[in-house]
Amino acid sequence: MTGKRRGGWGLSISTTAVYLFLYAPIFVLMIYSFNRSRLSAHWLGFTGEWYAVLWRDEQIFQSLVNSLVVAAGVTLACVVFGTMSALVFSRPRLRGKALLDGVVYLPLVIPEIVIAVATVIFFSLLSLKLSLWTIVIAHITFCVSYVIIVVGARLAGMDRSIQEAALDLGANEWATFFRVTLPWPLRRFWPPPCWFSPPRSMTTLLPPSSRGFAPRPCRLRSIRVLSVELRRRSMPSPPSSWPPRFRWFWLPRGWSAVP
Amino acid sequence: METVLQFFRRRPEYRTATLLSGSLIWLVGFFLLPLAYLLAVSFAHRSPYGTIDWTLGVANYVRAFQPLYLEVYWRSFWMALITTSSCALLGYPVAYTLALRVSKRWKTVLLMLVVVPFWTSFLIRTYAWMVILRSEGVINNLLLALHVIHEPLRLLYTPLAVMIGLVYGELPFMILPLYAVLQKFDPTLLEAAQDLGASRWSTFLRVTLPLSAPGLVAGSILVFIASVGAFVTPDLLGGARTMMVGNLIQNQFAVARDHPFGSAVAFLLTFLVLVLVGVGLRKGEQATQEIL
Repeated sequence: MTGKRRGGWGLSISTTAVYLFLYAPIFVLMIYSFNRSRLSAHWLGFTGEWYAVLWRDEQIFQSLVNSLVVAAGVTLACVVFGTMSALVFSRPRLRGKALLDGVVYLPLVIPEIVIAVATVIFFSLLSLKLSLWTIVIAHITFCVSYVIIVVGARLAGMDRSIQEAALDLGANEWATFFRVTLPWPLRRFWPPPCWFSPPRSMTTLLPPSSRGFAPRPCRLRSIRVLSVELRRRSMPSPPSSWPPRFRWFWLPRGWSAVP
Repeated sequence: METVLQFFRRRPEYRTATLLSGSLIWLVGFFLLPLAYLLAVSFAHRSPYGTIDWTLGVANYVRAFQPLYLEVYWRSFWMALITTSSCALLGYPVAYTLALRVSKRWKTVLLMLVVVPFWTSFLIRTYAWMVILRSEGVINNLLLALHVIHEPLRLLYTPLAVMIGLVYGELPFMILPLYAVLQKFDPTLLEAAQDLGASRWSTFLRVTLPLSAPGLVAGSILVFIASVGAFVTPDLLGGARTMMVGNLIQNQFAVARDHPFGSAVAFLLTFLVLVLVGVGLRKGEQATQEIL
């Protein structure tokens, strides 16, 4: 089907025009950064002096450091919190899913300006002084939902019986997460196989040729079958001594929720 | 470590609670509580000193419907509507080309090229448009040099400039959902339609367009929400006469220091957006989830 033309020249021309539209401002900015003129109005000749000015400017340097600090802090917090919650969100059955989904999707839907002003007056209510820290706090609120949704979608698409297999073969939850669940979405981007080698107990059950390789679905098919046969665990149920009000809190163990 | 795991094995519900705690505490504490406080403030009053006077009433909401403000909402609505349709008109050919007309290798490259401009800061891209549009800017200089015009056109600080900025900022949010839907579109349907005697246009209108509707709806919602609440773009590219509802809210907090009134307008905007999402997202739900 490659190279087959559907639609005429109009489509090609309009697509090219849109790409030009997308890149025009960026190229203009690049070109004008070499302009001798201070006001970037007329072209007065080529110069690299603005880059020298940039290099010497303390204030710009400081703000770059601020940006990096905020970005690093926000990313770290969001990836940790978001991945933890995504493990719950990706479960096939989850009570209160609709409510949790609502809370997670809301920051993506509500206009930024509303979140911004709400956060500002809330900080002033708490008499928090605006600083880099308040920027980090506000950004985590913005970004953690993205991580939950993106990572949750990946985990939901993952075959749960692979995690099951790891658990059945003696890896604890911690090892299962770091050696099976976490590498899974990375498997396409992360070629060095030895980095995420499966636990010893798993490799011994695999055919020799695949020892030391990252867990891939095809390689694990054999132990998957095995683990399904070996499974004797039954699904836990909420203790009847609990007041009914609290029973919704009981969720089946994520790892054992296999049909 | 092993005792912790043992504990969580005996009490899976605690594990769930622990896993959720980080982000939920954050979202409740720094997102839902502020929103609730915003709602509460919207029923209060501004004291003569610019602080909040907690005598409750709906005066702010009544005031929010004065003709002066209705004009601002009306303008925001139109700007967002035109932005959304421009994005659809510009984005559809791109999504179609990406999904159905290019080889797999080019597909990846071209899709990346749609996203890459958005790795640079939004503010920087808006400033770039100021350089292009100002009266001594790129477009005017070019047209003057070509003797098409003899006096610089006024492009910056007009509604047109705001519109260009908004379309530029929101275009990928239209292209990506459309691409996701068209990607799954079966091209043999096109051949079938043409074999059955449909012209190109009627094939498009009666086969392609209806089948890509979920993506179009999802993209339109994303673009509309973002542009109806925009405040940076109209602030930088627009003049005094292009105030949008985002600027109105921002002004109440930053300049007029009328927090209760600003909160009321913010809440009306939120309400409008939530209604729109509720109505529209059902259709585009699938497509949106695939993008995310």
